[in-house]
Amino acid sequence: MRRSNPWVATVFFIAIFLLYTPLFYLVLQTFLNNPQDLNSGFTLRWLLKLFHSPALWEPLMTSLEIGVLSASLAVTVGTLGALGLFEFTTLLPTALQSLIMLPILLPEVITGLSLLLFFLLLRVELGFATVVVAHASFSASFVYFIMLEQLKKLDPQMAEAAQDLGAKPHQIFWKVTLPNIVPGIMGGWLLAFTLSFDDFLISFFTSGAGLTTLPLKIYSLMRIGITPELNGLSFLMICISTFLVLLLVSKEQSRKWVLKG
Amino acid sequence: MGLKRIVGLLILLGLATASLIYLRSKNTIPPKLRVSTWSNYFPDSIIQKFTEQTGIKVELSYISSNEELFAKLKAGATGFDIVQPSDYMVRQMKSLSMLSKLDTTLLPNLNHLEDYYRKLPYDPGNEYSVPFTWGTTGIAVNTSKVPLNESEISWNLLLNSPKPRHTSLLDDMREVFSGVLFLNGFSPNTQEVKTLADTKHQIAQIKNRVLMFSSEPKPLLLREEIYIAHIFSSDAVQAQAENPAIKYFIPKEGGIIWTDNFAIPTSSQHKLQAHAFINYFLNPENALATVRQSHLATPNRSVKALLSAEEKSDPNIYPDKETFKKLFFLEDMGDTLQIMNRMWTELKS
Amino acid sequence: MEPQSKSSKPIPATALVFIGWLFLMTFLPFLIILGMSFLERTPLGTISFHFSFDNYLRSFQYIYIKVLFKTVWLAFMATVSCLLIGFPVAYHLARSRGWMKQLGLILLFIPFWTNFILRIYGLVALLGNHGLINQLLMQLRLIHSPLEILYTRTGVYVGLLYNYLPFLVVPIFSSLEKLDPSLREAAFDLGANRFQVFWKVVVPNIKEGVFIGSLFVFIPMLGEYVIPDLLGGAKEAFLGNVMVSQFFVMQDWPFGSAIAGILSLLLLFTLWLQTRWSRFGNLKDGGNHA
Repeated sequence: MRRSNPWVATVFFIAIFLLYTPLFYLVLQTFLNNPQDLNSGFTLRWLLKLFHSPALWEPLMTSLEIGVLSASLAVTVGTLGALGLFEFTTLLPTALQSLIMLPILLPEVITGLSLLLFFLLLRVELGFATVVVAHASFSASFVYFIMLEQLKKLDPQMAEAAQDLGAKPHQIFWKVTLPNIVPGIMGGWLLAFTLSFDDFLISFFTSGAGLTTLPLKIYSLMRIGITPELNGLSFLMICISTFLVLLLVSKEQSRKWVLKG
Repeated sequence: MGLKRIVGLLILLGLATASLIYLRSKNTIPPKLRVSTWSNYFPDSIIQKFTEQTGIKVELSYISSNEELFAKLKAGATGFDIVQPSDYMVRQMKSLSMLSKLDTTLLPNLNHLEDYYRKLPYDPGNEYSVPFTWGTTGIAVNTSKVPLNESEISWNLLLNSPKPRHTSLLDDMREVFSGVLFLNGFSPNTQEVKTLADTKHQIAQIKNRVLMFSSEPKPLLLREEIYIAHIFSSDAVQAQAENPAIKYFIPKEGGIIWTDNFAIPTSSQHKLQAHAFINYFLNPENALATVRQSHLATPNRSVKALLSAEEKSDPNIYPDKETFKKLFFLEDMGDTLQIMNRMWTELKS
Repeated sequence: MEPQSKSSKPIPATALVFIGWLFLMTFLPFLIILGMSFLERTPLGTISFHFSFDNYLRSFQYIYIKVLFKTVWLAFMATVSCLLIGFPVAYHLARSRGWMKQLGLILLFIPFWTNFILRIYGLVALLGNHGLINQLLMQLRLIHSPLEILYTRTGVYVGLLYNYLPFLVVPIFSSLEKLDPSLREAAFDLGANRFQVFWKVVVPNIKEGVFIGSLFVFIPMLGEYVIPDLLGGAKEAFLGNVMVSQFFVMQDWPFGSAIAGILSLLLLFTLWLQTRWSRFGNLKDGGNHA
């Protein structure tokens, strides 16, 4: 195969460079005595201070809890849907297909505000539960599509072959079916977790006053004036996201979806 | 294939998750006091001391304008235990039964307030609100960047700024309208639709010139992103403490005077703790520390007695008698509010 | 109606859980917000159950039409710019091999799994008067006064471009991946030059990917709220900002809902346009796509 055009390669590297500049700048600021001044010298102060600010740790924990629970909920619902529908995918009426696509296509502002109205109408108190449910409401569709791919790959002949070789139904389940489905479930779960952990707008609308997730905290800190601890936090978050991407990419099933976002 | 087993496992997972969500949302232990406040009022150390003394954790969240607070409460933000509406907003919320009646037996420190603040026209007898601080709205200027004649400061400086790309307006409908109304010689509380419409047109032109709308201009002033800011006196004085070149002015045409109050929304579920919080900040010792660190004016008689003569004579915090004459409270707009709301929406669009 | 041909099995109960969930948690709330847009606001800011089209009529005022066009225009321009940058990036990725490709993909994606708000924060730090860009340019004496990017329309545009680029790169990348290299070689063998190969072989085969990618970028841009708010200085309102302020500042839920309705219509229109265009494309190719 011919090598890529040098101009194309240049655009690629410039684009990657520009994508990283804001992040590297944040990381750099973490280690500057005065984050506003490039010549102010190296310090670990802000990073250490971060570990003593409960004001940032608590939202982080809240975000993690919400992420775990909403991802589990989304996996349950989305996988059930995929299990029920994977044999019918080509036969599904357009209305149903649109319904499944709706959470993915609807802009977040509309999803968030309509959920807010929905909860208010039901007189549900806004808080932890509403945010978890709201996150799961849009990530379930993503899980559904991942699981669909996974189930299509599932070969019924494998199970038949196992049966012919004398495997009992529960053996087939534990040795053949489950190992073939679990990677999809893991990938879907990680994706749903990341979507939830990253979400700002939908939490903004459905959290009421009683709850602060990490993105909400960062948003309010940005508004009232930036504290250097925030830079420390950015450093930490960039590390976490790098780790998550590597984890997701290492799973073939979720790779495609990481990339689609 | 055993897919049924998967379904079984999934249903188990779903049930487990649902019960965890239920448990987690029922047990928000330890209970926290949710305080909706304006930025830069409560120093961390004094909040921490409150938590140490009472065991009550506090979480602050910030509002940009009274209208935002009002709308948020209406939009189901039911978790707040303390809110800080300004004068006219106390009246509005009170009339819509959004505030719960205060139990004065739980507020023994109320007697430290000056008499004037015990019988404010919008809430005589402090039935629903307790003044926390008061101040003015004016203009802060970074004098090292913008040369000026300090004896002749007019709203014109803000509205026809010499450095429009370094100028910010408050993201607050009533305040922005007031500034222009003052400049044109009208009352900030005018309900004449024609005058308001003219004002709106003027703001529309100003908006295209200035850099931004922000109700938190302090960090921007300090980072020198902006030089001229429409600002609350408290924020301005704080900025000045960090950068002496920043000076605060109440324009010659007049300015807004406001009180920010403690109040407990009807929906609060920690009313007892909320009273404890209010009482804590009425205590002269705590109030003094807050007022000093955040550079605020105090309505508290005992605190004022403890302030040094120098502190008491800071004209940015305590304006002199002459200036007082040109300060006005914002008043309830009645039905005109809706018209103004529409104008503001159009302005921000 | 004909009975279903392949399997007359009823849709299993497990699927009903999912369908019920979508209906309850997405479709019903969406219907509620649409319903709300036909109600009226009382002077006190409460809702009166009075059917009217007033909110929609009100949104046809010049000023809101202007916001609509600004939103569409900026989103469109940002999508086109994303395409211009994204295409070479995807092309390079598709042409590189082995670990280079893996690394390239990972590099592209790490920033986008970093918290969205943090990315915006990074941009604010970078673009301000005293941000890195202006500091460097001033020190290099390339400019005398700081470039005005933050809190302007340019800032919003940069924010859109920065945040949505990879969502466009990936669909293009995967359609380029599917492109059979032998097609290109055959075209070269038949004497086509590089330009001809690009237009006649590459472009028609990746059109679908480009369309879908643009859609996945354009639609969320239309509903953007945070970027105009934080990078535009609360001055460069998008439809999303006008809508949210109706709920959280102005207390006019019906009008806010009407804007949501208009945004949804815009979305439907875009989708319709997309299907028409791709069908048209297919017809031109001979119409033999399934």
